[in-house]
Order: sequence, then structure tokens, then C-alpha cells
Amino acid sequence: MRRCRIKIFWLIVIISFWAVPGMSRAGYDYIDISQPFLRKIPMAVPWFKNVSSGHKTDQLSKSASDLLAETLEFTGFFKLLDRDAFLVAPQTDAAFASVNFHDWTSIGAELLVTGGVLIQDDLVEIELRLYDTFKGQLLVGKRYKGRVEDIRKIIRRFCGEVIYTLTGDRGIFNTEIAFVSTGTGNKEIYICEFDGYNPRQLTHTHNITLSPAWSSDGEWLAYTSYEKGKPDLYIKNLRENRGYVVAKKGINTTPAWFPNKFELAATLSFSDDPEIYLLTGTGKIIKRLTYNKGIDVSPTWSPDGKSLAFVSKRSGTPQIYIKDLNSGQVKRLTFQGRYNTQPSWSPRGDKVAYSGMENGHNNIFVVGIDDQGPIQLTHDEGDNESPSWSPDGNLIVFASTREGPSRIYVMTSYGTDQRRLLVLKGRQTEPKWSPRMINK
Amino acid sequence: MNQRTHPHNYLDREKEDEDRTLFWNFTASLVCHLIVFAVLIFAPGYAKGRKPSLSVIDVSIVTLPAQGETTLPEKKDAVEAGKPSVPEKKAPKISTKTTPEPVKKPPESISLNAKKKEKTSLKKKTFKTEKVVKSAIDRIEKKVDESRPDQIKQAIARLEKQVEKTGPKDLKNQQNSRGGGIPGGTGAGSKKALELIDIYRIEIAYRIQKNWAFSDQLAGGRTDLEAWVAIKVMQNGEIKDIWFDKRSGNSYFDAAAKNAIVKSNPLPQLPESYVRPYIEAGFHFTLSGISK
Repeated sequence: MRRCRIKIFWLIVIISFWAVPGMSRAGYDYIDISQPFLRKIPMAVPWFKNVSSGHKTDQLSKSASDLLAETLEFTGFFKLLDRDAFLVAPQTDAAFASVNFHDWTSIGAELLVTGGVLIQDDLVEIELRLYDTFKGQLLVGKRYKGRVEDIRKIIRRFCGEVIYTLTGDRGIFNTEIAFVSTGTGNKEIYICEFDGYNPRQLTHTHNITLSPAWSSDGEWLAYTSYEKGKPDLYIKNLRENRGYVVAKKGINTTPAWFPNKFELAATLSFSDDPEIYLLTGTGKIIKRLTYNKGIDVSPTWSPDGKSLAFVSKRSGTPQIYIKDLNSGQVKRLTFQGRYNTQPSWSPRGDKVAYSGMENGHNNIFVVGIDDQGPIQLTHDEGDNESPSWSPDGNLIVFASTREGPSRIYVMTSYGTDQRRLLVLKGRQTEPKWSPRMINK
Repeated sequence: MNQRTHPHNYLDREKEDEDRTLFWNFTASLVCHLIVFAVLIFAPGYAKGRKPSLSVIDVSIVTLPAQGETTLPEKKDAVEAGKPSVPEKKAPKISTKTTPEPVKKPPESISLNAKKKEKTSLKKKTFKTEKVVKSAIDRIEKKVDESRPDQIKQAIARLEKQVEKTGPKDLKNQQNSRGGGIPGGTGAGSKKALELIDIYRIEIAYRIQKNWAFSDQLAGGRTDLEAWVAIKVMQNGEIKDIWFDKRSGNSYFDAAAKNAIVKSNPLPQLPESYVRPYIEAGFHFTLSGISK
């Protein structure tokens, strides 16, 4: 009897320990908060502190902090707070070495980047720190040393650290964008950095050059050129002066590199019917990928290389189809609209962006490969074409005529933050985002 | 088995001693637990003042050899990598009116169209600026006055609508809950107080939502995250405690939800008719609104 009582006593103790918090939890209802007011993280980047004196340091610390703010804002993840709202004066220790986090949380900054700049001769030493202001925690701190001219590279490297710390992904700071421009009077391929910086002409064919495509390692670029009077496929090594040409009878166009292999798909019409073939990086045919009477063009690979999306007129109008290379089955992906072209498979593998025509205008759409969507990302602003995903899948680069001549624009994968990337002479079209470059 | 077949007195005594020891052990454990919980409840912010130990990793950037370029100049004492922090030189005087020089953007970046010179008409040259400004201010003030009541009306209507939705739930909960502090449950008890506290709860939810910043892209595009967070609000509106009833499993999402609450502190005072010293309110953070 006594033992039984002790057992009951213990049972009550254990139950009370478990149940009491649960009972009190049920003491209030939950109010749903289902949408963040701001879909970006508020971040403060005060001007960096001048550790050495002099006009050069002062200028560099300001330009470097501005560059860092612009570079991080480009990602679409952050809302950079206005420096006029800061409670901490720049050039004080509170803005760099001994941070009082309350000064930053009270203006709503959730992240803070501080920096100190020291210049000696032509060498710059810059220390950068990323803080979580609410946790009062240093998330990442790095000190870089290099030449003053390397400041852009240093800032980008730290931005990469910031994104890696927050997302576990290396970001887009070592990527480039290839595009077609008519600045010289001919359609030539140009390359610029991810933010439009440093555009330079890659091809000098003095003819029509189209459809740039990056290999997975970023070392090769394939494109179509009319250099010899008809559309041939050129496979060019970007580091060394060598390459291959596919100049079969008919058209040789729309190349797309196989993920992580020295192979590519392209449309060839030597059999009179434009079909998609798999080629080696040197231009030899491995196998035919599509079998249908009627045009099959613009291939784009799924990230795992198991499927291929392409444009086909097999149903009467140009639509996007997906071919499973294992089963050989082909399914139609787009049903809305009568002219859907230029597919681009997202790096996460779940979506395909494409250009669709409605009411005489092209716009960018995104459709899930599980048939979700499509979602229209651009609206009522000229023609918007040639979408291409950033390697992290967060941004889409595209060409648009919204301001007159065609220019290159960037937006988030949700269609927000649409902005022009660069202004060059002539018209810019067909942008293609590179993979991450290892040695950049 | 032995106890039953061969009962002995000394065995009973031993058993009693064992029970007593067990009782004292339990009591000691309970007291220790209470002390620990008391410390956690009454001094939860003890770690706030602590400065993080900062460590900075040295990275030397190596430039790819360019045409005709030499390697980096030799290290000087002032830029030695081994030093724990950047050596500080005489800091320039800080002036509160810092006029930043416009940063030169790269030439290929977006350039705005050059502003055209505007022609100034005789009318513009002769008109009285002060008068125009004054009339503009009057017009704006009039507009603000006209628009204000509508906004307030809309806000009240919105709150009333939400109270209608949540009201019966609270009442039901009030009947079922025991003690736990559901607003209005054991306080004044009047319907008016209940409505006021419901409006108050919705108001603070709205305020928290306004302070909620979350990039779903940064969270890998996930929109299926949800967290249940509760707070304890004192009579003066101060948030005394924040706790998670259920975390989302994504540390960034949870931190963003908590930050939204911290940013909202202090909240408005509790309604005067509410007699209890504090309320507890729960919030269910989801991304269902953006995935629609």
C-alpha cells in the first residue's frame, strides 16, 4: 500500500512537470502574422573608419563602404539604411572597433558592417566585420591586404563571405554575364561582371554573332556566328586562344552546355529538319536528342542533366517541352499563350523561366516543372526577353526595350527590384549568366 | 519474494530509511530546481551586457600576375599580418557635418540622362514664391485633414472585423482555460474589457508585423516555415518575456520573428480597464501571405 502511494506520488510529480507548461501554453490564442512587412533584411553600412590619415584614405574608405553597400544591395536580400538616420558618427570608435549594438537596433538595423581602412604607400589594409546587432554577435570578420586597385576585388570577396555566412551559399560575386551588343555596328558578344562593371568585347567577327552559352566551369563559351556566311557554332576557350567550330550543312545554333561535362546540346539542321543533338566539346556528334518533324530549338539542361527543356512547334505553335533522357518521354510544359520560347532552367531545378508573347508583347514568365504557374514577372514595359538565371537561383537577367533600345536588366526571381544593369552604345540582347568562376 | 515469505522487522526499518532518504533527495532537488528557475525568470538578461569576444581572421589577397606587374611590395611594420588589430594612426577630427564626396560610379554603370536646362518664363521670374509655398502648404494640410478620418475609420473597421473573428474563440478559450492569464478571463469580466483587450492584442500584432523583416530568398525560398512565439506584456507596455512555444527549425526565421518583437518594445500600455498586471499573447508567424 505504502509503495503504491509512493508510486502515485512520483507519477503526479512527473505529470505536473510535463503538463503544467502545456496548460499555461493553452492560456492564450495565437494571432496569425502571415507576411513580413519588409522582405529584405535591414542593414547598416556606415562609412569605414580612416585608420591612417590623409585624403586618399578618406576617399577610399567612403568609396569602399559605398561599393560594399551597393554590392550587397544588388543581391536583393538587404535593405540598406540611410546613413542620415545613423546615431553613431562616422570616424568614431563606436562606428568600428567598439560597437554599441543598441545604437543600431534602435534604428532597425538587424545587420551591421563596419570597416577600417589603412593605406601605406600603394598598399591598402582593410578590416571588415559583419555583426548581428540583435544578438550582439560578430558573424564574420576578415582583414584583407592588397593593392589599392584591388579594392573592388577585396570588397566582393568580403560580400561573398557575408552571403556565405548568412545563407551557406557562395553568392554571385565571382560571376559574369555574356550578352550580344551592336555597339560596333555588328552583333558581337560582350562580357561584363555580374553588376555590369567592366564590359568588354569578346568577339570581333564583324558579322552577326548570337546565343552565347557558358560551360559549367566558365572556361568555355559557345556561340553562333555568321562569320562564314551561315550560322555556325563556335566553341571558344576564354583563357587560351583556341576553340572548335561546328559548321555542318544548314544551321548550327542555340548551344547549351551539359552540366559539369565537356559536352553540349545544339540545334543542327544538316538533315533538313532542325533537331537537337548532343555534341562533344570539340564539336563531334554524340547522339540525337529530339525526334520530331518540325523545328526543335533552344535546349536548356536541368541541373542534374537528366532532362532537357526545349522549344518545339510540334503542337502547331512554339511551346516549351521537357524531355526525360532516361525514359525518352516528352511532356509539354507551357499551355498558356501561343508563342513561348527561350527557356532557361533554374539552378535549383524546380522552375523554368521563358519568354512568352501576349498581345503582341514579350514578357518573362516562370513555370514550375511540376506544372505550377506560370507566373508573369514583367508587365507592360516594352518587350522583355531572354531570361537567364544567376547561379544561386535568386536573380534573373533579361533584355528589355522598356526604355527604347534593348538593354540588359536584372530582377529577383520573384520579379521584384527590376533595374538596368548597364548602358552601352547600340542594343544589348541575349544575356547569359555565367556559373561561379573558381579563379575570379 | 523473500520479504513476503520471511518478513523481518529490520527490513521494514531499512525500507523506511530508504523512503526518508528518497524524500530528502527529492526535496533537495526540488529546491535546487526552483532556485535555477527563479534565477532564469528574474534575471534573464544577465548575458546582455557581455561583449562578444571578437576575432578577426587575416586574409592576404593575392593579385593574379598582370602584364609587367611585380609582386606586392615588402611588408612594412605597420601592416604586419600578425598584429592583433589594425594599428590606429592619429584619427582625423570628427566633424558632425560630414559632407561626403559623391562617389564616382564606374563609367559603365547606369547613367541618368543629363538634366536639360529649363527655360524660365517671365511669369515664373515674377511670381511670389512665399505666397505659392503658403498656398501649397494649406492645400496639403487640407488634404491631410480630409484623408485622416477615412484612414482611422478604415483602421477601426479592420480591428472590429478582426475582433469579430477572434472574439468567440477567446470566449471559448476563457471558459476552458484555467488561470493561465487569458485576457479578460478573470479580470473585470465585462464584455467591454474583453473587446478592448482583443483590440489591444490585434494592435500589438499589427505593430509586430510592421517590424517583421524577413527575406524568404535568403532562407532558400522556403515559404513553409512557421513559429509560435509568445510574449508577456506588462501594464506599461513593456515586453517582459519572449519565448518560443514552437520553433520553425530555421534559425534565421526564428531570429527574424524574435527581432520583430524586440523592435516593437515597448508596446502601448494595456487598456486601463484591464485590471491584471500583465497579459500573455501568442503569435503565429507564417509566410502564408507571401506564398499566395
